[in-house]
Formats: sequence, C-alpha cells, structure tokens
Amino acid sequence: MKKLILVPKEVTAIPVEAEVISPTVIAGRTLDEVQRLNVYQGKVKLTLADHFDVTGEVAETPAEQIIVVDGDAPHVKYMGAAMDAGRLVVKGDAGMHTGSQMAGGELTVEGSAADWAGAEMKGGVLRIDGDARHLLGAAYRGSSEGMTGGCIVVGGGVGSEAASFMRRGMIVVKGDTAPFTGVHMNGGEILVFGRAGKRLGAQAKGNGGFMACFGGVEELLPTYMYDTTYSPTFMRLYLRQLAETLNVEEALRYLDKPLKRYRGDLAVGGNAEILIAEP
Amino acid sequence: MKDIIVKGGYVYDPLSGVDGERMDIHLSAGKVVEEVPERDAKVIDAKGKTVMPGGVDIHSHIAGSKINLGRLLRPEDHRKDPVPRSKHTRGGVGYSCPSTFVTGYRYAQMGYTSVMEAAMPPIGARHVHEELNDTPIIDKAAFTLFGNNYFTLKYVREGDKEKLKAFMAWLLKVTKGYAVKIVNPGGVENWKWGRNVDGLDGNVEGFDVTPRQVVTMLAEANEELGLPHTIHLHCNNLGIPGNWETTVDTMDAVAGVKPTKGRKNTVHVVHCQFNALDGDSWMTLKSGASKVAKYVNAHPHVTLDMGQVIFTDTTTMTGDGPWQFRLHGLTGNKWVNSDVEMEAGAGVVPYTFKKNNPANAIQWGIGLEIALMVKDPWRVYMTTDHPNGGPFIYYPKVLAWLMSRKARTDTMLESNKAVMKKTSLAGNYREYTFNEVAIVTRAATAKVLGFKDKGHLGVGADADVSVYDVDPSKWRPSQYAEIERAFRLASYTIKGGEVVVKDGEVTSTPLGSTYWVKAETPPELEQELVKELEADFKKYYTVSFRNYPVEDAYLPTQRVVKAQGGVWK
Repeated sequence: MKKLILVPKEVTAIPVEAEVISPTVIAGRTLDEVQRLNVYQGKVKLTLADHFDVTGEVAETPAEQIIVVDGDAPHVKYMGAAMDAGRLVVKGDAGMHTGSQMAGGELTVEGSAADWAGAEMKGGVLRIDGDARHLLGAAYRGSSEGMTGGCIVVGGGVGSEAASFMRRGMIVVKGDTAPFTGVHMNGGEILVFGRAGKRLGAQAKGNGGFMACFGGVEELLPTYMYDTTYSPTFMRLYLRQLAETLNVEEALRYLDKPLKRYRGDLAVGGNAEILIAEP
Repeated sequence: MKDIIVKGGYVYDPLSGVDGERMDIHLSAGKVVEEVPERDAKVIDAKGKTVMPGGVDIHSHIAGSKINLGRLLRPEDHRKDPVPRSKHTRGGVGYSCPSTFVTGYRYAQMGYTSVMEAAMPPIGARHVHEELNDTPIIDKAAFTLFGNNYFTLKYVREGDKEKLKAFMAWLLKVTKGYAVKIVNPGGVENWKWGRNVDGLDGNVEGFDVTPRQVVTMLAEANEELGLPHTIHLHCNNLGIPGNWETTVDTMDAVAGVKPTKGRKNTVHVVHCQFNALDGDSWMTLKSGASKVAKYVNAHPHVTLDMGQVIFTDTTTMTGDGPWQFRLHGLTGNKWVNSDVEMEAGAGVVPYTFKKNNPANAIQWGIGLEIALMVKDPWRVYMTTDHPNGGPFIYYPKVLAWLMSRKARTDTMLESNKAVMKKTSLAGNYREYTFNEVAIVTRAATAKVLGFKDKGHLGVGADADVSVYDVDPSKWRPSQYAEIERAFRLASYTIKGGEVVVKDGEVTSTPLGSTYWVKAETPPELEQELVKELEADFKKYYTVSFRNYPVEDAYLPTQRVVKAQGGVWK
C-alpha cells in the first residue's frame, strides 16, 4: 500500500468540493498531477494543492492506495465520494457528503462527519468514530433509492433521517439517533445501541429489513403493531459478527436479550420490523 | 465577422445532392456563399473529417412548464450531472432535465444548430419563449398545442373549418408558435374528468366529437393555411400494447387530406416507437414496427420520428396527462400532473429503461426497427423524444446503432432475450450511410419543417456547419465507438457563420433565433373570431384576453416565416 498525505492548509468559511480525494481518482497519476487536480470553492476552480499540502506516494491502482487527510476538514465536501477501492482516513472532522455513493474500499473519519455521509452508498465500509449529522446513508432529495450496500459504523450519535429509503446494507450506531431514522426504509439493517429517536421507521415498507434498538426507543409510531417477544438466532449471529469484524463490542452485551418485535408501517401497508431489546 | 472556409472535408449535403465529396464550404456574413478570398478568411482544415449542415432536431422538450416541472421534481437528476462554468459558458446541470444554458451548449457540442420544442401550451407560451431566450447558440421554434384546446373542439363540433383555420392562425400568431401540435386528441380533455379516449373513434366528453374528427379537420385546416410544417401528431393510445392499429388508423384518417403546394406529406407522427406496440398486454408485447413501416412505405403522406429508447434513467414528460398517470401506476414512481386550463395538460414521471426488462428491450428494438424498415430516410427522423426515450446527449449512440449492425448486436446480447424473439431487429442487416445520417438528422428534418435556409450547404443557406472528426473513407461499421466519439463532441460547430464549438469546447454563445409562423386570415373573419374568443375568455379564462398574446419583447431575435397563403371560402 502507498500512502498519500493531505494536510489541510486552513478551515475556510466557504466549503471546498473535493470529490478528487478518493483512491479511485488519485491512483495511477503522478504526484504533480494529483496536486493539480481541480477542486471547487463556490464557483472558483482551484487545485488540490491550493487547499492541501500534498506529499507521499501515489499507487498504480486504487486498491493499493491509502490517503490520509491529516487534520480537521469540516469544510471539505465529497471526500471519498464514489470511491470503489483502497483506504481513506480523515484524522479529524469531515464535511458533507463524505463517502457518498462509495462502492468499495474503507473510509474512516476519526472525528465527526457532516450531513449526507455515506448517502446512497453501494458498498465498502464507512467508519465514523464521532457523530454523524443528518441524512447518514440516505437517499438524495428526490430519489427513492438510498443505501444499496456496504456498511456504516458510527461511534457516536446520528442526526435525523438516517437511512432514508434504505434498500440494502447495514448501519450500526453506537450512540443515539434523531427522529425519522429508517424513514421510507425498504430493506437493509439498522442496529442502534443508544436510544432511537421518534418516528423510527416512518413509511417503511420492509421487504426483509429490520431496525434493532438495544437502548430503547423514545416513542414508537402507533402504526407499528406489537407481534411477539423472541430471541432470534440470526440476531446472535449478527451481534457476534459485529463484535468480531467491526469491533462493536457493545454488541456482545445483548446476545441473549429477548427482543420485542413490532411490524409496520401499517400506514403504507409495510412489513418492516422494529426489534426492541427488553431492558 | 470573419469569412470562413471549411477546407477539404468529406461533405454530406443530401439536399444539394452532395454525397461525401471532398470540397470546400465558403461562409460569409452568416450565409453559405460561392467563394470568399482565402487570404481574408479563417480557414478550417477539415481534411479527413466529415462535414455536414448543422443538425436540426425536429422533436425535443427543452423549454416551458413541462420541463420545468421535471426540473423541480428531480433534484437527484441534476445531482448526477453538474456542469461547471468555463471561460465562455455558464454553470448549470445536465442529464435528462438540463438547465436552459446547458441545453444550448450540449446541442451545439453535438453539431446541432436548430432544435424544435415540441409542445407549447398556449397560456404558457411566455414561459417557453423566456426559456428559449435563455437557451444559447441554437435556433429554436415551439409547436403550439391544439388537439385538446377548447376552441379547437368547439369549432370541430360545429364543423366550422373556416373559423378553426382563423383560430389556428390567430393562436400561432399570439403564442409565436411554429407548428400545430396535437397530443392524444380528445384524451387530455377527457382526462379533466379522470378519463381518456379509447381510440380514434372514442367520444370527447362534453363536445361529442371524436379524435378522428379533430385530427382530420386540423390536418385539412393546416394544409389549407399553407403552414410550413404538417400537423405534428402524438397519436391516441400511446404506450398501450396493440396501439399500432390506432397509429395506422390515424395515419389513414388523413390520407385523403390534400397537401399544401409543394409537398406530399400531411402528417408527422411523433416518437413512433411508443405507438408501434403489438400484442394484447405487457405479457404478450411484441413489435408492431413492421406493420407501421409497411403502411408508411406505401403512403407518402406520412413522416415519422423514432422516439428511440436509451437504456438509462430519464424523465418522461408529455402533454398526454392520462398516459403519465397510467405510467405512474405501472411504475409506482413519483408523478406530477398539470392541467392547463382550457387548453392542454401534462404529466411528468421519472423512468428507467433497463436492458433486462423485456418490455424495455422490445421498445429499444422497435425504435430501431422503424428507422431501418421505413425505406425512405427522407420520411423517418432520428429522435429520442428527449427526454422521454432518453436524453438527447445519447444521439451519437443512436447513430452508432443505425450505422452498425455490430453495435446493435452487441447491445442486443446484453439485453433481455425478448428483443430477439419479439422484434425482427436481429435479422435486419441495413446499416445507415453517412449520407443517410445527414438526411435523418438535418436535411430531411429541415425540409419537412419548411426551413428553406437550413439543412443544406447550398449558396444562400444559413452558415450552420458541423465538422466531425471521423474519416468516412476509412470508417467501418465495426468501429461504431468512433461514431459515438466523433458525433458526441464535434470538431467544429459553426452557427450563423461564427465558430461556436471547437474540439468539443464551446467557444462562443450567440443567442440564436426563434422562428414563428404568420398565416394570413381575412380581416372580417379575424374580427368575428376575436369577438367570440373575447366572450369566452371573460367567462372561462384566468387571464384577460389582452394579456394573453406574447409580446415581441419576448422574442428579441425572432424570424417570422409566412405561411403560403390560405385557401378561404
């Protein structure tokens, strides 16, 4: 693996759109070419080197490339957008649309991520050690196709409308979630180890997906019907895998917890599952 | 403006009978001229390249309320195709609902210099012209919707063709329209009561007329007014399996109409692919292209455009409100409906044409079958019904399919097998020549639209020229990717004698003109008509009669085309 290091020069008030910060875009170029890649600040076209000190090595293929953004970059949008291989590590906060539409590889944000992180994600792993703001893994406005693959793990809490229009893939939240998590969800899995916010699963149709809440739910929609209390085998498998492969150690605490199963959203004739661990 | 010589290219100018000859084209003061002195001119080296007149798109949806509804409905469409500004261009968005400026740039980049907006609701005409003014480079015209207009239906019911003609002339004048557009005649009127018409002889609620009467009388009136283009017709039953019969019946309904002087055709059937479906249901869907083509080959009064499907995500939008509701029901996709007062309607539904969907694969095959089975290229034109079959940026792909059987076969092999079983495309060996491409994309479209100065490079023609980086003497159909590359970004596009695109980059953004048609009406008849219209406007319209016409200020670069002169009783 070859490492390229980008050190942000300053945090600017006007965001910088830098979808070029991606192993998929950078691999196969020379360092000079990478420094001259275009980024936009508002309507102004600049180069990557105008905003970052760019050093290190560039790999031949995306899979061999590690990019490290060494510092806070809350003003930098679209980092890792559409990446399909390799690794990107942000050693601080990341701006909006980080990892949106990513299809493979691994993206780690050691701080917090702004809105739309992992939006319409198709594959790969996105880890956010801090909080993620609104619309994590969501569909873009107007679209009915949200996350269709991959895995997002958030160490802190998440904002509203996380996983909207989710179809496949997995979102794991160690902290709390704001309202409307899983709105319009149509498949996929959401596991919340903190407290889930109001209107969880609103308008969700289901199609095999579930929302598992291990730290309670603030308020369940009346259009979800209680079904049963049980300890499904698949959940034990999920929780073990989470602990072993994604280091979600909290998962092991709930291995034998019975789950209350609710079905809905009946407002749209849905068959989605909300599973709530008994205290 | 400096004179230009396009030197040494392989020129395809079918209207002048030039088929791939190496020759020079001389341009001066916005026109093609016999010769300009080389020492004073800008010389464009076109050696080894293809030279054609600027493209003329006969049917596209680029301006007005309908495309704007699409833009509002589909932020996700804009997101995937942002277009940054450059030295000469503004920023915008592209794909299926492009912004006005990007529309102009992208057409010019493909070598197109004239584009027709295919459906202008009369009361929304101002909006259409405002957006056309914001669509740079290309010349434009808009087709005014007539087929479900209250006054059209009223005069058809009364059997008053003279009044109908006067109304058509008046409405074209006040909306600054270029042609008579008919969309699902009677069906959109019935949609206001939640219904549709069930075919050419269905009943239009409240008027007790049939679509057959509407189409026939509008076609007769169109020809008697001597309008430059025939009626521009979107048939009934669009998108419904088995609709080829309605399409052929509709063509036949106007077979007896006497064409205006100087032409044989009396009807242009639009996006024919959507109207050439055979079978009883989506399960038994098959191609009806051969039946439509058989009729067209035997009847010179009909012209068509393809409405080719592209396998991509797009936004369907049409004045056919009931069909869009049906499509919304079929797909479950989001939908916008628009009722346009006394005049028209529209619907917008996003749609993705997928290779693995049997119906979509068959539709893809039908569009190409129509273009390949209609023997006379002067009567079938290349369109995608942008954005309904797919965005216009895919025209080069359609050309590749038309020019290369290998291109078709390669796509067929990736598609649902239904295209092999339910269409005859696999057995069709025809491959368009460069000359035929020039016919179906510019020469024939300009001719059928009645543009005397467009679609050719004869002396006196507008200096609209496209130069493509493909050598026709060396090109073979197996190299279809070369066609896509060359026709996507022209080496040069010259508009009105000015280089507007060089090596695929926009270099200049002149405004472009808007064409509209003026047809004369006997003054006493017009006065009588206006009196009637004013009375109905007071009763039914939300705008006053005086505020209805589009003022000249909305068309800063207008070009008025006079109709040949009416036949009046």
